[in-house]
Amino acid sequence: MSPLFFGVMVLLMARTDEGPEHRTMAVFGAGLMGFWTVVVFGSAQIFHDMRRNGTLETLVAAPTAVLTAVLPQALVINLLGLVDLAALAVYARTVLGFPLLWATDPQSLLALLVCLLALTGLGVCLSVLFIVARDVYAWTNVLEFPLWILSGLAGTQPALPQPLTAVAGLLPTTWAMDATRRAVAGESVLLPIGVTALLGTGYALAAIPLVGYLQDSARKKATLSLV
Amino acid sequence: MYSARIFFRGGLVAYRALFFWKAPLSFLTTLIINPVMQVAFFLLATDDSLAGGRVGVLLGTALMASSLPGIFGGAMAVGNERAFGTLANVLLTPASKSLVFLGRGLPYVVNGVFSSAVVFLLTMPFVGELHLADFFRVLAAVVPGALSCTALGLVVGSLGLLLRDIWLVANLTMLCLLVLTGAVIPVDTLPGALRLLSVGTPLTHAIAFARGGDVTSLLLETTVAVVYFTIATLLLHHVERAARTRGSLELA
Repeated sequence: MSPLFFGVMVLLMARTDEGPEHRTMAVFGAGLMGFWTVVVFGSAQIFHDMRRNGTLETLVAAPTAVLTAVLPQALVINLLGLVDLAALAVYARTVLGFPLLWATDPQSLLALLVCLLALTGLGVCLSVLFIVARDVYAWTNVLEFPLWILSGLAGTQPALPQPLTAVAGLLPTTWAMDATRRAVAGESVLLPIGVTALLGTGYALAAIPLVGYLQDSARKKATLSLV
Repeated sequence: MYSARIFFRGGLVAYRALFFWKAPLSFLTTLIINPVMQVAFFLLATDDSLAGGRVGVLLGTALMASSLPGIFGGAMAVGNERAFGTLANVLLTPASKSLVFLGRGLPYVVNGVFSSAVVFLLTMPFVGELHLADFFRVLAAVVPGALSCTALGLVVGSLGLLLRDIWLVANLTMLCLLVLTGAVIPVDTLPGALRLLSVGTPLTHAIAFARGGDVTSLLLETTVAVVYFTIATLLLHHVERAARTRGSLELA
């Protein structure tokens, strides 16, 4: 609900803008906001909820690698982001009359799919980091807006200092926005989609040792209190 | 003296016991950094074509920072009491429940004023057109604003005794406030029904005052606070009666 509300507000603010490209990108950006919110809170929930419900112990003790159980869970949670995007697109088109130039463009849809997969990898990495943090929700609360800002999901790509530009470059949403912007402008999207895929692969590969470390630590220490 | 003790000491003890975000890290991230980010986000999403412009958005969203401790604090003041299993004791004491829960609201009002003031000071440089005089205007607006938000939070908390998921209600209330108060989207551009709702929504009049409204706005905001405090008190009395009749607090 939260990204949906924020998305609607962004669309209402973009309503005053005349350019169809800007308005179509506003819908896409607002949809990606939901993607990120789902990733942050979903990844925080994966281990946190399992630990709270007492099922994490069984999972860690099972001979199957934890990652094989976590990855599909992260993907399914992230699919909720698509629901958010679809709801915002329907609202933008039917109520506000916004053009959805990206919705029929295969390149933009490909960028969306690759972004979703890349965010799944990032989500699993975050889930491991969240399990070693004492106050998970203190961190999730501050992670939502910065990515929206860094990735330019508000509709405007801010002029960022160099270190923050580098951080923005590590976010799949930044590249997905870039890919769609290029697709709408009729330019090649090969580079941004390629980078998004590369980032996703990187995050998925990073998740293997991270989750492995979590599993090994829990087994060696015979406790799930890893903090 | 006894009443003052219940009001002030009881409120402070309840704040320390029931407020999730009092730890420095949670306080900083949830009540300061997150609202600052929210201001930055909406400033990026807007331009001066929107009525009120960037200054109006900054004033509105900075004041919204007071709603977080107000709504969630009020909800925690009642809801966490049940979660920790101590609500029955509170309801069974002979002390005035209105006094007990009004006292609990006070720390959240102070917290809300503090959050908004800090967020405003931190975000002022984002828009170059603001001065220290604007800060005092925000300060004058945020006191009744935080009062009405806390009062609404107590209503949410009371509803939490009748419903199962209090946090869903609190989250939805926060989001509705963002839309209805005109913090970002000017109230006069909202559809008619929403505009009507905004009249009774906490912070609407406080934001109007901060953006240059007159003292009437502050009086209206205070009236909104009184109305929500009355609703919260009535709801709590209803819950207390129902709990005594049924011999259970599981009213949901």
